[in-house]
Amino acid sequence: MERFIRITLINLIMAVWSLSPSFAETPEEKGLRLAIEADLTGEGFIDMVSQSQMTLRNAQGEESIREFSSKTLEVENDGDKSIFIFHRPKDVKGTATLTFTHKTGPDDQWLYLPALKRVKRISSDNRSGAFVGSEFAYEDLSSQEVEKYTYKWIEDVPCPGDQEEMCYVSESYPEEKSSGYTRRVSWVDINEHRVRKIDFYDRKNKLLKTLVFSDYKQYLGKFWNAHTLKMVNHNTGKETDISISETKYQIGLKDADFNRQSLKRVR
Amino acid sequence: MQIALIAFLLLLFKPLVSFADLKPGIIEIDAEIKIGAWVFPESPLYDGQKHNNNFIALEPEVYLEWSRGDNFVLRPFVLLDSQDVSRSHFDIREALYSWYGDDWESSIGVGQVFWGVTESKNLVDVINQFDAVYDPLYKTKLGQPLVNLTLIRDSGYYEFFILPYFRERTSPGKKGRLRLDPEFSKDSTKFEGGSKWTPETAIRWSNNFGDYDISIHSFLGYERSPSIDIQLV
Repeated sequence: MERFIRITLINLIMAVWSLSPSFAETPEEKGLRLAIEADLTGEGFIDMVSQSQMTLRNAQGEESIREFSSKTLEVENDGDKSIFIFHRPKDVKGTATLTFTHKTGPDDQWLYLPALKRVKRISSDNRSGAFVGSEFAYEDLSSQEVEKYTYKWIEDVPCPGDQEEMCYVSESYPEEKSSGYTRRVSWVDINEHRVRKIDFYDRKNKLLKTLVFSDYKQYLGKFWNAHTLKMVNHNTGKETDISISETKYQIGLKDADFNRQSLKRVR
Repeated sequence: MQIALIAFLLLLFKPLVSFADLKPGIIEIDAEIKIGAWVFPESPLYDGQKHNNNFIALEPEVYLEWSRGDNFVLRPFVLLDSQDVSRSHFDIREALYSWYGDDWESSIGVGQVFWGVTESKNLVDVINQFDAVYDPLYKTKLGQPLVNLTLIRDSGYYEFFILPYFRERTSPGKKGRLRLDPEFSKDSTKFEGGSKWTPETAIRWSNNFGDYDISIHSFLGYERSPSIDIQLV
């Protein structure tokens, strides 16, 4: 604590001394600055694939387990492109989604239905809908882009579930009118900008869902990846866990792997 | 017309060459079996019709994929109906070999092509013929022999088709409850182009802008819904 105060004091003195505008930084400006810093830590990953297990749990504790894999491609000057493909069980096998996240304007999203052999578009009005019956919404699958929200820093507190680390608490407000959320409150650690927890507030500004990230591992000496995600819906008591078993970076994915035509043939 | 046929035959060789040199990396076999019955509470109007009919439909699917991404899907379909011999039929829903590059995809064989938006009435979905006896709600389609090239560009998707053979719409027989009056006479279909082997062509461009899906197509070939001549025999 003493060290923390001292660092803060030094920062304060430096800020006054240099007369930098950061001294007069508003909570909104600080929120935006932190979001840009966090975004930069994730930049340059090029592409990524992962294998995961999704566990759906209802309020009675009954579980069903699904296996899926995902592919993500970094796009210069725009949001990422990604594909999620389900492998197990049989009734969801082959179901796949393709997402083009855009920095500004609504994302493009398609769903491939293997039983119909058809690609269906997810209209922007449906983006708050549940993704394959889970507690994740289609919009939760989009990559996080700075431009998609406005921000407000709230406070610095010890991280939830990890008192050793300090986190900044920040609110983000979606720019997209079709979003199912009015705001998200995130806990992000100051050291590495790893998101620890997000509270999602619905259109009536009531706490709807909480997402907790854990089991962070670092890749290529730079990128931190949470291997366990736990989403709880406070309205229904339902939960969805995602456990990522394997992640690989920079395997050489191409833009051609991410179109509606390729969505039909992913397996 | 002849050029189209030659192109079709040339393309036919491409998969044959590829087939020989490699064992598939992925083999998947699935099958769907459907057992059903139609029950009509009203008494039948015509001789031979009954209050109900039972049927069984079998639809296996074999999918093969080679390491470089070429794939072949085979999906035959058999329907056996207890009442209507014209409803009982065999069809190849798909027997399609596809291969692709970064910004194009091509396929040859018997395929199922869907144009339009999944949730709507699909008035522009003209490539495949309806299997009207199996599915009187007009959702299921017969396999269509085709050669296809799709170009994937930033300006949209460009699809080109050659359809060498026309599929006639299935129709119920004399004992089918959902038949017209008078009944269809089989094998008396007349084709404006001479025969079922009249090559048809289609081109389609599609893209999406924000929330709008836009497509333009040109189709040169047989109208999929038949016009019916009434004749006294």
